[in-house]
Amino acid sequence: MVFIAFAIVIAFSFTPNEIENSYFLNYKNKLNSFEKVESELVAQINESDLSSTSKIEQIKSKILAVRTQFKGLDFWFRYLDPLAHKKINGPLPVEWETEVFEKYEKPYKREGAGYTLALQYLEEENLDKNTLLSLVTQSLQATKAYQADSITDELKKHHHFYLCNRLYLLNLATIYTTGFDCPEKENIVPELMAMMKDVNEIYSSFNQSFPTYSLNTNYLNLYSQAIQFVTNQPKDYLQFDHYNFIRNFINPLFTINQQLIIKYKVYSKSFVDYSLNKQATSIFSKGLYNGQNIKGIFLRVNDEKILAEIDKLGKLLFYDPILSGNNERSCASCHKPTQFFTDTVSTTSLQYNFNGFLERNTPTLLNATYNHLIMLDGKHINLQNQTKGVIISPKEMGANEAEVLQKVLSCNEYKTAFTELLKQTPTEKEITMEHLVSAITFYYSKFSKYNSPFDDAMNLQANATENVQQGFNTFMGKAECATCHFAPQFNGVKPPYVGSEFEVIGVPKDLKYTGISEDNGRYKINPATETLNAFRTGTIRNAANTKPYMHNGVFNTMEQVIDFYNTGGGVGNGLHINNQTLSADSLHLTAIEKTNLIAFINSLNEQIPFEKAPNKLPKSNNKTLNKRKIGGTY
Amino acid sequence: MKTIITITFIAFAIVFSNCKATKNTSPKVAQTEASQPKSLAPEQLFELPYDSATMTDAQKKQFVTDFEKGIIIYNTVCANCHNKLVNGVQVVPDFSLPQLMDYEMRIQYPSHENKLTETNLTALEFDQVVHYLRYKKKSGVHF
Repeated sequence: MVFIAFAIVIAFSFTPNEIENSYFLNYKNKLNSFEKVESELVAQINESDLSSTSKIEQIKSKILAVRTQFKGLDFWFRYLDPLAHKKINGPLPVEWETEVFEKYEKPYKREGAGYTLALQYLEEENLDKNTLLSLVTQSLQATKAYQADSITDELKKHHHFYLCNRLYLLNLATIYTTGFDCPEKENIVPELMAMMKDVNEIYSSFNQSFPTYSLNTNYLNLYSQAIQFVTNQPKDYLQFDHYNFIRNFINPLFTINQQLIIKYKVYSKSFVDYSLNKQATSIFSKGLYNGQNIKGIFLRVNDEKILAEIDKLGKLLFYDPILSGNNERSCASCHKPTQFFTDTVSTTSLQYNFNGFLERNTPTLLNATYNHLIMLDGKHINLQNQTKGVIISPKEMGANEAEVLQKVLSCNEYKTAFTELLKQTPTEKEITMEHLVSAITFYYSKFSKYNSPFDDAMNLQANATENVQQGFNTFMGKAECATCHFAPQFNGVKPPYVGSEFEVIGVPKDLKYTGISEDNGRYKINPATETLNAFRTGTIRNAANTKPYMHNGVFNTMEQVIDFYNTGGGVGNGLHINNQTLSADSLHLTAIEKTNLIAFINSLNEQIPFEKAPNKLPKSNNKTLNKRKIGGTY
Repeated sequence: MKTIITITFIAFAIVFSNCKATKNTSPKVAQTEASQPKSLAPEQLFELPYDSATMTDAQKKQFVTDFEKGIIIYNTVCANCHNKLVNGVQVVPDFSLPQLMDYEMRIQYPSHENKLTETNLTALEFDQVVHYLRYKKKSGVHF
């Protein structure tokens, strides 16, 4: 016993003092230096009376210097304490819906702060010193959080480093080059350059301190080439080659980092990594993040034969109008599998029993699984609740749960199959609606696993045409699409892929812009001034095949959509909207740029092998039910 | 020097406390767990919360449903790693409240990283497991 204790003492005595290592010192030095410039900025604002343009310009240039220094810490800050990070570099004045870890948590509102907002504030008239001070002192306070033991202790092990790096690479592919958190476009490339060089220093110090877990030569060489690539880019931000930057450097770096995460047995203790998949080898992989639970109540079933049975039942139910109150509508009535699981003909679908039309266009079910919240207003937290919601909606399928269950189980084929599947769900004593809707979500979600030609190009398996490349560059740059539609899904879910973003873009009620669409959107679920007319940002994958566009289907062509954005959305077209999140300024897109944008969007059409409808539906004991038509009648 | 003395003290403390724990637990626990007939109804397996007197019938029913489901899910997802074998009997250990930090459990332990994903245990199921472990009668085996 004494020997063991002695051995422990010896072992501790000869362990290098990790606190004094170069990696840790690099962090501490950068952090202390950042706090110093932040304090200088606060003092400068305190001393200034903001009475002249030159005094405001002095403060502005100090804020830019602080921001540049901050970029050298972003690598750590964003991962190690995302909430404090938002106080330093929050992109929005009010974040009215925070990213929540478990989706059933109520979203909450948080006032923004930081240097991006301070810069924006300086553009306003009648400046109030206290408001400006509040924005920057909150950042200074937030920075102190990074001195806490709970954070600095993380730096003594290698795990956090590879997870910080993963998030860094994902953001290089999604937000750092788009102006998402840098409204002054002329600063995007200089800040990117400064950040990449600072991270290179972080890499060197990490390799010195953690030789057993070091970044390999392949990674470091490729990273140096990425820096060189950015150095060689034209000074004009609008000319930045996003396509080759991501394809040839960032995505391959991500691949190596993922390999090292596996090799070094890196594990996470942070909710930041909650959704990300360690096994994914590309940013442009459908397995990059977990998304929704498509199996529902069957979530722990992995046997291929049983899964095939669930899929078969899901398909039958999807086409079976037995799920509706009048036995005439099925899921396939509106989500037409032959039309990419949407309805490309109707602006909005008929209501139940022909009582007029629905308020919203039918959204495609393709890639629905990659949303954090479901429905355009984010009403549901999972796919199964959404399916159930439609079945029992008096405007859509007009059924009630008990009747649906009774009708479905009146069919011997369904009853036998679900009874057999009951063994897979030991917490359930009998067949429930959960079994039915889980089979449906499992069936249709399988069509979301396919890649597009653009994915193939980014994965170096094909080449994109010049038009597609230019279109992607416009998408990421001049057209500002990528500040809301984030790779790889090009929807509103950005790294670390644990939240859905909503935007107010001012969709009109008609093509003449006689008013804004009367649909309140997110406001119906979470009433707040900011949520009025806000809608969840959808994917642009398969857009060429999923017209009409916008929540109310007001636009029928991609050209109309691009023109809408190009002219500043609702406000840009003369509508009065107080909370539009889209800039009302024109994007000044040329005809060629618009054509290229469409070429890029077309390259996101996925190569999906669709299936034929079932030949027949299960027979019921109730003969009147056997008159029902495959797929319903309307 | 001061650090070395402190570390020595801690090391001795760890070594001796482990010896003590090993000697004390097994027989008593085995007896407790073995004495529970397998046919016990769920209500004989749990301890009601301190405010149970104010619970409505619907809340009590939900309490029992969640407890029952929690047992099944625990046995499916957790038991394989967490149950302890004491004198040939599988024992469900007692978890402390800080150990049952609800969804933080998904990320606080490396071994949970791949096993407690949302695609393997839903948020609702998670609550039911925590509910079961929180209110089950104590086995005397500490996790």
